[in-house]
Amino acid sequence: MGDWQELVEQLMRERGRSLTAYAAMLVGRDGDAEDLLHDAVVKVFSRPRRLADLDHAEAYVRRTMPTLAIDRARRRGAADRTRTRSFEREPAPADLDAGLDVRRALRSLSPREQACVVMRYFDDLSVPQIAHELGLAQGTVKRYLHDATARLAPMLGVEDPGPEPDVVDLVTTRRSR
Amino acid sequence: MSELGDALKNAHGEHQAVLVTPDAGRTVAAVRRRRAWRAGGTVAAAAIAVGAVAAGAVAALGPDEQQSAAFEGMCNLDEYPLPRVEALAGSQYYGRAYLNLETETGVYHRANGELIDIVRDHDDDEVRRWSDLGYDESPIQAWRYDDDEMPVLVFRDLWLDEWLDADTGTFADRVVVDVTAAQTPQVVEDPTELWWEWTTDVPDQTPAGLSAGLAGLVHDGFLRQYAFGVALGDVDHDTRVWRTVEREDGTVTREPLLLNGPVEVIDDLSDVVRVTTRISIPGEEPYEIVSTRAAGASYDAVCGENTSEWRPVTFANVPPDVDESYSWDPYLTGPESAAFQCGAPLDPALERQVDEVRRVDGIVWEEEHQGQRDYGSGATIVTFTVPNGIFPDYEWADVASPGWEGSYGVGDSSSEGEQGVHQYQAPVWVNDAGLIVGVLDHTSIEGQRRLVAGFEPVDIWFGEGLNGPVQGDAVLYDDAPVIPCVDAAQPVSADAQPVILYGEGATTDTMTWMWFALEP
Repeated sequence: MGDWQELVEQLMRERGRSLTAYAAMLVGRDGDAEDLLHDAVVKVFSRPRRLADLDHAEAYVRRTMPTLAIDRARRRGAADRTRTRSFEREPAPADLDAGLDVRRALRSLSPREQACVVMRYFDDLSVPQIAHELGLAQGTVKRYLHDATARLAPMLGVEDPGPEPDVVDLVTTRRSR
Repeated sequence: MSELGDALKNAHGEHQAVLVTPDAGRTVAAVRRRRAWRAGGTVAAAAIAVGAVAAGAVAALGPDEQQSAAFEGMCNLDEYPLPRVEALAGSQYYGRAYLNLETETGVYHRANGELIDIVRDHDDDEVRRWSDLGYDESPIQAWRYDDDEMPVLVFRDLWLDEWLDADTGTFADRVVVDVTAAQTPQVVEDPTELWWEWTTDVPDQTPAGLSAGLAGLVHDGFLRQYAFGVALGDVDHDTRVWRTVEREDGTVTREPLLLNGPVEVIDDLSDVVRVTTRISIPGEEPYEIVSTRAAGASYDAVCGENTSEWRPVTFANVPPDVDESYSWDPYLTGPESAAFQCGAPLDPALERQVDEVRRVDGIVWEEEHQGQRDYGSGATIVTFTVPNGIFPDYEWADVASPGWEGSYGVGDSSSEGEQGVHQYQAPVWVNDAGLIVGVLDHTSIEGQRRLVAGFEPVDIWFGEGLNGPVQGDAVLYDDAPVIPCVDAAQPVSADAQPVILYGEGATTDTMTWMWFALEP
């Protein structure tokens, strides 16, 4: 048994439920969450990587999921049966009630808004970090967050966090010796 | 953190608490498969350096291992079914690709059972093309790399945009193509036909100079509803290739497949029970491939049942290539009637002499055309010379009478359509009294094809080209469909002699007319 296989099994055994719940916030229904996790793990482990430990592997898989979820939604939107068939193996089980109101509210957003909100308010990433992860402009991320939170806040009975503050990137330059 | 952040984290915690631990087995198997495929890609890359031998090594990865790993618990082989390759004459069939032209993705089912996701390449993609290196599956087997530097197989352009036309609605947003040694992939109009009713027998011995694979490709064209021409390789010019088709009602048709000549598709296979391709090379035993239909044999599902949703291409919204409502007027009813009329004699002043007349029959190799022609029961080839002028005062005209052609173009002074020529050419039949009594049947497609002009093209576009006398051939088949043009009730006598009418001019009203008798 290879090291990677042991790590995958440990990851799924010890962090699988947390990662599935995380995935469920990024997809359109609970039934797709496990498939998203599956694909994220496959993507991360399908090539040799230096994954030091379980925490490192979990972080890597989690960071992979938002982009995969957006890609998947785009393909599904294009009615691409061939590319999305791995998500259509069998009827999805019913959504679990636990935390469902929040997931339903998230699913009222566009896939990109959904990903931005989860990364900002669950993962506590900054706007530049989200922009980097998703390959978006910072202004675009801010607009997604602004629009999304304006809709989510009344649905969840929380205060709208309001617009993101402007961020100035600090750039470190390396001097040549 | 904000209230929103707390809401998300609380919901996540509640949800996680009631979930069951996901099964790692499926994910581990998928990772193992992807890693194996990646290794296969590495082998494939190595194949570039050493050519066909290494490419064979890619295939030698084998369908069994990959299939069991790739489709464990999820069998897509019947969703993208492979036709029964054993029904073919061993004709270098590489696989069937199911292509979604709208999403530019697809699945390629290789003949060895391997199922591969593919995407379409674009001009701006950096695609490694195996075709440049002689690899056989070039329409499919190129690749680029994804973000993770995984090789991604692509299908190349394949003129498939012809099948997807947003302006006219539906050509086909999904197309199935077969990939064979023919290089050009063939569109499969009916993907539900998987050839399970057919068996094919191929001789053990192959005559010298003949490629069994390419011969099989020509034969298998009937099954794929695709016509492959017979190219001249090392075989003798006198080689003959015949295709015989037998139908349920006992009808047998036999037609030659000409070297470097056209081949026609067998339109209706529904009642065909046997197709035979017979190749006779001088000095060699005839080579005969026979396909036989056993009605009732059905698809043998790989994983359970045929679950394919791919259906025949529908052409409902495809505009026809030609306007079928268009019909020709009879011969000698157009502008040519100013010089030639049915029932009237030919003007002796317009007579010109032919250069040569010769008789041919059967299948003949022609050096000039580098191909065989079939003259059937017999034909007369008439060689004659015409003025071949180009006229600066050319005027375009739309003529509905058969026999008319025209060319016009831009000359050196670049004013559009400033010079050109109208040409007319047609045979008529005259009786002993010198009167025109018969013309070609204008309603017969065969009739239209029975006169083959061999003039060099008029080089309008460069002005100073072939503006002067030119020699060409006309072919008059003995069985040309001749109809009476004076009295429909009076058939044209077998004694009537054919005459070639010719004219050219700037306008249809200012033609220079002439005619050529075949007999002195």
